[in-house]
Amino acid sequence: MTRAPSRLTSAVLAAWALVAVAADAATLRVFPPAVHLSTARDRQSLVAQLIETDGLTRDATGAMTVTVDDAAKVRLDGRALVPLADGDTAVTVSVGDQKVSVTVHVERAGQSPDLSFRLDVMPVFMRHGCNAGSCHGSARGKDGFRLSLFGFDPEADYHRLTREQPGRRVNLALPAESLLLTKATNAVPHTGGARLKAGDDAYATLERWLAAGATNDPGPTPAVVAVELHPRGAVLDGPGATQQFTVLATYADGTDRGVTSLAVFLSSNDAAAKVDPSGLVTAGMRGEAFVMARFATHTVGAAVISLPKGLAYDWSPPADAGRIDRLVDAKLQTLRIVPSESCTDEEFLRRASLDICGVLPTSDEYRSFLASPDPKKRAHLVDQLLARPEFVDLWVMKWSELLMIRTVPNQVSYKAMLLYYGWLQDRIQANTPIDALVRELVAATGGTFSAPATNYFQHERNTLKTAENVAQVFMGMRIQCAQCHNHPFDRWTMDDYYGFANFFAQIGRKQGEDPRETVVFNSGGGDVKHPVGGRVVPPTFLGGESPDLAGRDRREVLAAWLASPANPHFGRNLVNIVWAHFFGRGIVDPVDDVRVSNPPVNEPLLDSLARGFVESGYDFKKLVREICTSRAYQRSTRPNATNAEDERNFSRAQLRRIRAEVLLDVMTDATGTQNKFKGLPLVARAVQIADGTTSTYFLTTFGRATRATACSCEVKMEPNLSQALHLLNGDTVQQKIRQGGVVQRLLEAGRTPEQVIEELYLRTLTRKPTEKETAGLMEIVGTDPAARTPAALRETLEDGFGAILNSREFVFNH
Amino acid sequence: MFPAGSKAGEKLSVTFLGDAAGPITRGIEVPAGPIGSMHRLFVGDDGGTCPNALPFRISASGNALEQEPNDEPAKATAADATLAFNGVIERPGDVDHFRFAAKKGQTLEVECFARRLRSGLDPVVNVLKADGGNLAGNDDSKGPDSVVRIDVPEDGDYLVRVKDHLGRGQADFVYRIEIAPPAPRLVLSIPRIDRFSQTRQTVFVPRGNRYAVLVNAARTNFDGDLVLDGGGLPPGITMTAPPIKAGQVQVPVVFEAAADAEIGGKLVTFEARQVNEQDPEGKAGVRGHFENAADFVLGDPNNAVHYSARVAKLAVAVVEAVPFSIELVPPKAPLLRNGALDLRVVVKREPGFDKPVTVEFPFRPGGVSAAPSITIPPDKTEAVYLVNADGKAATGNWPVYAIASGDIGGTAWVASAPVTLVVAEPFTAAALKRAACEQGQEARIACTLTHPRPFEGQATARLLGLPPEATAPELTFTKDTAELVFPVTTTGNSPPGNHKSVVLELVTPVGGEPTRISAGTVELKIMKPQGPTQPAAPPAAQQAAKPLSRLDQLRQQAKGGTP
Repeated sequence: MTRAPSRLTSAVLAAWALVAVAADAATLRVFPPAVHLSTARDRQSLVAQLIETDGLTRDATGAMTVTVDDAAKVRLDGRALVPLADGDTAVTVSVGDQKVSVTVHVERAGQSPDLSFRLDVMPVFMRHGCNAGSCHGSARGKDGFRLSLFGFDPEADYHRLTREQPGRRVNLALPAESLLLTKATNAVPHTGGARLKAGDDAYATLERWLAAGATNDPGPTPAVVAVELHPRGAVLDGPGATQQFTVLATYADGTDRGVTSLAVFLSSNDAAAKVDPSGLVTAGMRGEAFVMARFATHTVGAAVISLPKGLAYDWSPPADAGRIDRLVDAKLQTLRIVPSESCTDEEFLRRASLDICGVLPTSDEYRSFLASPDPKKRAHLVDQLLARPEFVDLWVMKWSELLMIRTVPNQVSYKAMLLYYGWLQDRIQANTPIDALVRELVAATGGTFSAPATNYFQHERNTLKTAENVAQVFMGMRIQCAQCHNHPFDRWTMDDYYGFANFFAQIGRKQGEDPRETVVFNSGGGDVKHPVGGRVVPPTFLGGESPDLAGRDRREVLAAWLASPANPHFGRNLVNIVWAHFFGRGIVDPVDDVRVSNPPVNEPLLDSLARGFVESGYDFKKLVREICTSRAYQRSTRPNATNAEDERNFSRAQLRRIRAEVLLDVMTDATGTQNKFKGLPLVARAVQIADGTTSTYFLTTFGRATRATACSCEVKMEPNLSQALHLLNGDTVQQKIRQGGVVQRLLEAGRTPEQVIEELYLRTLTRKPTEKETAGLMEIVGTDPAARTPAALRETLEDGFGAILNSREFVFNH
Repeated sequence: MFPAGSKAGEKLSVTFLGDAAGPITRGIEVPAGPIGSMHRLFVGDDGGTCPNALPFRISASGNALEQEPNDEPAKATAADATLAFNGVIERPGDVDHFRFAAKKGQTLEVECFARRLRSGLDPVVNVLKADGGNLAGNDDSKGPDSVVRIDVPEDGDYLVRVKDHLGRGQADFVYRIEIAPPAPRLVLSIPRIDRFSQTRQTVFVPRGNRYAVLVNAARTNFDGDLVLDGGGLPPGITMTAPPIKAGQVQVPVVFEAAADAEIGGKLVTFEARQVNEQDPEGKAGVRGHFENAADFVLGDPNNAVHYSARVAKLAVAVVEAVPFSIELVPPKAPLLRNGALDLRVVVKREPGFDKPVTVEFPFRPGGVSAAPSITIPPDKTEAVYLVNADGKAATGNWPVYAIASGDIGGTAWVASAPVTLVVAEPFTAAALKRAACEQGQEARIACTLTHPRPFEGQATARLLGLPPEATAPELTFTKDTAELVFPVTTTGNSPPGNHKSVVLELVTPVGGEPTRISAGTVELKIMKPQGPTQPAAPPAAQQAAKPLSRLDQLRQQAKGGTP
């Protein structure tokens, strides 16, 4: 449901904004802010948190004193409120001299409804791991007993418990003898061990349900519409500092319930912050963790930051920061990290040229940039690079990977692939707003030759996989898991999955006049069926509504929503992809794995960038300009003591290996050679290769994407031995140096060996060699000009050239 | 161009669409030509002639042109169904309707020509009832073009609706609808030897020798007997071609060249004509001819044929003599259902040619099978080609031939003269009773014979497929024999078990030649003999060996034995 992310947004915003609250003393917050108790069994525990002026938080749950205004309506049991009589009252929570009043509303206190299978029993299975994937929730169950994974099919679970083997799992005459209980407590051999303890609440719930006849719910039960985790975040001071959390579930009938004892707690970073089954978080070493609670089909989280105890921190960001820097720096401040200083002009020149255009500056460009006195020269360099055609080439390549442009034997012919690539190139060259491009693509109709965007539906012809690709590429979400069961770590249920997939169920295909051409059209009929019950889920936007489709092309309707501000995930995803290109890491990482359990490292930054991008009309160049002119982008890779371990919060630039195509291109440029790729003239560059299946040994070894899938992991950046050996011994480096004759030409032009060395460094590393480097090379060259032959000199200098091309400094973007 | 067709001889005005300067109108006279053929028109002006021609369809009748607006059934353009309906889907979403009258019981084919006229339209055609209800429809039966057949349910008006499959429309989306009863069509071909290949799609007859091909007749919308006409074969070549009976689709055709026939060839129109009692020469019936289909360009996906051509000619040539020939010895005996026949193939080699010759038996009547080929080694002049018929083989007198290839420095092909193979019902039927015996004993397999077709002389019956060490003699019988009993002798080593593979073979001589059939299978059970009963083991020895239980000990004691 759409409420959860925006709650998270505001929650995290609230947490970071605390720094700006310059209150004189710590502020007390009590959660939940309002308590609703309905029926006699309802309980709600309170949690208190003190927020210091410097942003640190303290767990005040143990220190709070709770006084009940009207003892007739409600009473205290530990720190839980228990309903006594209907009505409204309040409780006052005081910690030290701070007081907070919490309203309490009680209804139906006299009623004790029957235990519900879905509302009371199923959560016990989830909480205690009974229906987890490693236990009875696995596809074949365990030891002959199967439950639906995370409870996606309560009706079938009820059947399996009570009817699948009559008399076996439940014993209505002696409930405590039911296998359900005896196995769970390991009173009889249970491979899963003891999951419940006789006498605790969960056991009591099951026993009471069995004693009442193990009945099924008589009618539909209200669904859980939202789950809240309180407090919204924590900044813990020192290892061992704790914070108690509480979980609240809201139902479709308007009631809510404290479900802390029924929720599953997880932490994304146990080293930084561990969470125990009662919801108590304990800080560990310095770091950031995302603590999550899962209940029913909802997962919600809160960011917990662990800081070293009593850390002294004194850094303020510069006042003239732009939007990106304000937001990045705010997070750094919360983390008590000091960012690295700005990179040098040389480093910026090389980095921006590689990131924006995939080229290295020539030595002339180097000299003029370094010599320029313009205080805004970096911004002007960005503008110049943005105007070059190489910028378009680079992004056409990246989009080609997202759209999987390649030949597929007997499915996508070379001609179709080329036309598809040409279409993409046309659109990006014309600076078509990305939303228009995506709308044209998703709703594409016609022949794969005459309307090349339709090739998107020829590369992948399976309805479900097409839906998965669209979600992954345009919204950054992997909904694949929800094909067979509700997503374990995200909000997507099978209904969401099949509702979304149903937009692609009416794609018709037929052969065109040319045997290679396929005509893609709206067939006007057909649906995908939900595997449970074979029912049809009406086409539903992910996390949105089911639109009225009467007489309309489903893909057109989807395209209009997908690439519009009505779909919040689109703008965020695009911005994230662009950010990841320039920083080596997205604000959400991996870029196509957005899920509740993988939150953005800086939600306000992502949100702000996305809004700006959408408001600008999806102006891509504007976004790139803003990123590249920010201080965050221009930070040095050199770490300092505070940020040495931070790789996620953009406190310093990361060392990034240059990707395969760009590496080949810059090596080719530096050596003055050319490559011949299939279907391209000699002057073409590797980033311009249209077909994903066209590659060379060099490109494949350095991780070129085959584009067989839409995953961001197609481009492989991991190092391997073949890469090192190929650079050293393979036929690329040595041959190019020899063929290109750069050294030869420089010597013939009358340059001295020292000058040649300087030129080689400039055109590859964008810096001059240090004295030590020059001296070292000259030692091998020999200092007596008379004693060396031209051939030997050339050979030695070429060897030096080869050594530079093999260096990590060349191969990495720094 | 619009309209894109008309009657031969008609003068009309056509508009050529697509030129950058705008539509060009010209008056043309439709040349004479076969109905249904495509004439190619070039358009030119002061600046020159457009280098590519546009197709113009020569049809049986004139034109009716659409009258816009005709987007709804109520506003359909009324026209006579004998005329061709011409229109343009001129804007996105355009739909055209025509109204015509038809009579109950008529069968009509409504065919839309668009892409075949090089219009960009991808037509979807529906035939509607007068109230707008759908009767039939079609999208892509003829490439992108449509054709739909209707059986007119009642007298009255009907509608044809045309639109673009993707809802497109532009000024040059021309189409043409022709409505006519389904036309019969006849096309002859030679079955392909290899995929995409022209191998042996021609007739090349060595001097003084023969060559043969199989000819397939593809009839559409009619059936009937056909006769083949060589159509002016080169001098010296004679052709033997049996008629193709109704329901048949393939016959063998044998060509023979005289020894002094001139070397050379020509392209002939190889024709077939429908004949019947009233019209034995096929003057008025359906006609068709041989079409040579050549595949020129293959490509994605999966070797699809991208460009091919059909030529309505058969190449027939006399070529130089080759140093071998073959004869198929006319069998005197028939091939019986469930039977087999040995056909004798004789090869005559000229001196100096001592290579093996590979023989094939291409024409097999229904139910008749044979090996793909046999080879006659250099030192032999004869071989047996075994043919089999199954229980439902097509009976009758069938012309068959053998074709042989040999290496004369290239592969040369010659055929035998045609020979008649008679496929007939068996003379004798047998019902077999199964038998059983012990090893070493004799089993008696009894066969009851019936003779639906009498034969002369003595026939032989034998059992095949007997298990090892079981034998039975041959028996003879005549058309009057009612029963045969085979004594099957077994030995002590005959394998025991149920042997289900025993087959009765009957060999009947006809005209001195044997023809054999499998007349049925029977089961022979061989059992292990039951030996005499074993003598009982000596009781005393047994008792001494058995240890006594305590109870037995006490009993013994009580009897006075040792404790």
